[in-house]
Amino acid sequence: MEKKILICEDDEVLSSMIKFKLGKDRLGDIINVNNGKDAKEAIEQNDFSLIISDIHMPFISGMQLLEHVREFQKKNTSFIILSAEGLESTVLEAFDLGVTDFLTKPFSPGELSMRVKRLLHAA
Amino acid sequence: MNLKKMNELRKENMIPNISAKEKMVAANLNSYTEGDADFLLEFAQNILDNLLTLKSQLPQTLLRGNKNELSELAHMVKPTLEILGQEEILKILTNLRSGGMYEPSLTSLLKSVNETIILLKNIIKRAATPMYAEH
Repeated sequence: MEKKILICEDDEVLSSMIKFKLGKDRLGDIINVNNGKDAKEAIEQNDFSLIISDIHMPFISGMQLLEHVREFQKKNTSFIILSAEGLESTVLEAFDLGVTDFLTKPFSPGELSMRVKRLLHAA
Repeated sequence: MNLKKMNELRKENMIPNISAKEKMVAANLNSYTEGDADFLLEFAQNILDNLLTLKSQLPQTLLRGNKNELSELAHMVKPTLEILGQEEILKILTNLRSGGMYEPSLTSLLKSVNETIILLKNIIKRAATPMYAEH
């Protein structure tokens, strides 16, 4: 069965780029949302192997989403945070909340794909 | 179709020769879209939409002087500008965001945004019309 991947990104440009690359590399069944509220709903209705979320999103931030996933959902769902600023305090907070990986924008589609492959194969 | 009409149509569809800047942006877009022509069109159109939003919202946002609005706008276009390799626009925008000078920054910012919009439109035209690809 194909692994399910959730992309939560409010930037249409990045979101389409991530969806294209992961789809092209056949890494899983991809669902896209552009805000934290829809992401939360999608998480409640699906069993995702991986969630890729922007940190800065409308309604619910990436950090709040991560906290929600770790508190109420499966603890082993891989979670990648995307952030425009790689501030040390933000990175540390994310890892403290249980993030699996952290990527600072801009990143190359190839790098993201490699990291996703590694996480999905390790799961 | 008469000759005049044909010439008008030709003029409308005319795309200038590729500039060095356009080559650089096109190369950036190609690396992100991995040579997929359909996705290149979608991707370039999304980027163009972001730049058009920036162009239309920036003067009024600056006029209102709301730093939060300006930060939101800068946040919205940051990935787009990074993908395009337009660090200069990003630098001016960041300067404006932190309360920097409006003029000549705003004028040069809008000029750069306009140039990039034209350039992207050319890239989209070329991608959508293979006969222009070599010109």
